[in-house]
Amino acid sequence: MVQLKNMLPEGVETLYGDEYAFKDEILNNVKNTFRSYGYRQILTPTFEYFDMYKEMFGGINFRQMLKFISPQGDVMVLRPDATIPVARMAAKNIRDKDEYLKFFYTAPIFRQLETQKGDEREFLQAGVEYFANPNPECDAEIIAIGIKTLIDNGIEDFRIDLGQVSYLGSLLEEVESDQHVRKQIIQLIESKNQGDLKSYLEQRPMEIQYKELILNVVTMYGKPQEVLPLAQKCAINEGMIKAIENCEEVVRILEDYGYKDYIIFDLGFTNPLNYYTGIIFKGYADNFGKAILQGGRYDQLTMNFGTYKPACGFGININYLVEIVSMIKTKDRVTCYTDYLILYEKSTRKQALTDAEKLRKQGYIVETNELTDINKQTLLAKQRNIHEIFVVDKNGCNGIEVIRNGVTNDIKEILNRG
Amino acid sequence: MDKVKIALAKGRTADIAIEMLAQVGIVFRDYSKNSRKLVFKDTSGQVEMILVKSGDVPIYVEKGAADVGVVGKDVLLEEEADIFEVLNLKFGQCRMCVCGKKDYELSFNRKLIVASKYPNIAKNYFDGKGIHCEIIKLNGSVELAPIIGLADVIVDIVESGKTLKENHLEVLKDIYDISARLVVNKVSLKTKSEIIKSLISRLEELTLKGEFQ
Repeated sequence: MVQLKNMLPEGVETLYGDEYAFKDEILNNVKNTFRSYGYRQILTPTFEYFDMYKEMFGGINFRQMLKFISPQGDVMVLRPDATIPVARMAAKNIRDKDEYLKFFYTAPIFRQLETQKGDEREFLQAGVEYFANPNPECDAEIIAIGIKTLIDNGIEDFRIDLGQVSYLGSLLEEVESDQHVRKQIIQLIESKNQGDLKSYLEQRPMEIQYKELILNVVTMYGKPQEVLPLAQKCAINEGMIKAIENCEEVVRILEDYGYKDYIIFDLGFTNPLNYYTGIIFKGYADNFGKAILQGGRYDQLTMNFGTYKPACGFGININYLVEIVSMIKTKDRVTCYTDYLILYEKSTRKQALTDAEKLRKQGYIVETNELTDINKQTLLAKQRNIHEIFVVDKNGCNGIEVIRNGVTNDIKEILNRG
Repeated sequence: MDKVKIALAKGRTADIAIEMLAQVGIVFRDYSKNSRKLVFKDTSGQVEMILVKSGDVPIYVEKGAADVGVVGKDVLLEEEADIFEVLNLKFGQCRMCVCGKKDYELSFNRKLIVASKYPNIAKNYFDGKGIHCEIIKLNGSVELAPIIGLADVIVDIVESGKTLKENHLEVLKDIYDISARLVVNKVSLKTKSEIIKSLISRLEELTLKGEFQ
């Protein structure tokens, strides 16, 4: 045996039969939901040039990208984000500048995270991206698909937390010119650290009403009917007013979808990936401490690839979704099984293999093997969840019931039924 | 009604936090300082308390294993967890400082050797100042490092300054004010907002009274 110092790299996953089937079923649910809204599946490469990500105005922390060097000396990265390559595909494949595109993908995402924190360095993400529609209708559709994806997987207790990055953005643009200070303020708002934000602002030469306004943003979270009127009152420029109008319109549309009750707001949301320009949102399931889905509007991203296609989309972490569904779905879970195991002797092998193929054609899952020790083989069949064994020897064919209750079947009878 | 799980940093922080919680009506009857128990339920049955090592509070809260936590700002600066830091509880006050031998003068001719229990804080501070430094992570008795020449300076917590004085060291620079903080999981604040928001506002009132320092 090979003696490995480390069996597996940190943060990767191995899955066996039933667990894989469970995950696959959930993934299929997600794909069906996406398809039912007219989104079409696309594929982006697993690795690409580091330069593409580096050139982006937004993007992911470079340190968090898993990199390797190609034989030609180029630095490559394993897909650290799905939206950027999808945006490139949307920008580069245009027949008509007005053509709208609805894409979905399922892809592993790789991140080089801090060690020993239990974070996944490879996880499966699925997502939708809607290009060339700048309207709130598009934002609402994306959010509605997020909601429907959770509902279709049997999750009932969840919330969608909406923010609007241009609200805080327009405010800071007006009141603070220093980039470094803005960054500091954003960081304190992001962690809802009102106390430290207050003492930080006290040292700044800024008008007192602006300071109060910034401090107010920290508390602008909760139900839409509470947050939005307050935010409206606090708006001091065109950008902030527009941002709130946009939020209100999206909420009105979501009300028509019948999804208003899932919506909460947090205008203190900032822009972790930098490419978001408008509505931004996260999805939370009750009793699960991490955001399961996130997305938002990114109008400028395609400009990096030479085409203007304002867009909105979201990604859902399938690994988290599986964890949540397995918390709530404890019964009727998919299990791997085999319908029939056909055991034969040398003289009956040809007959057995022919019968097995006929059964498979009828849709049964069939395994075959040589008859050696029937007791041992029955025991193993039980472990593998094989429902029934047929022994085909010179005396004919005998069924041995393994798992199912009731009478055993005759192989010929089943074949004739088909 | 949702249950809330609260993680406290074992030791003095937990002792004071438990007193504060009792004042806002969250009472843990089965808790005593000498108990070896790690999980406690309050009298209303709505709050569960766990006691963990202070450095572990951020990860419990970030991962959602606990909804709320009480931990020193020093730990939050060192661990940089993705959590909400909603309230300064104002007790456990001390300072994070750069300390060295009396009359120590920073040399610009070579890299600075810094010993600390807080390597990230130390590194971020000197990087921010543009000072080339090398960090040596120690687990205790950090004051020893400059005395015996393991490091030029240390970055450590200073409460009364007594330890420094007895070892002929002094504070060269204050970096941060440290005190206990109330932290909240980013999802729990939204999914259990009623109970957590009410906890925050009750504790805030209490800190304004200034009884716990």
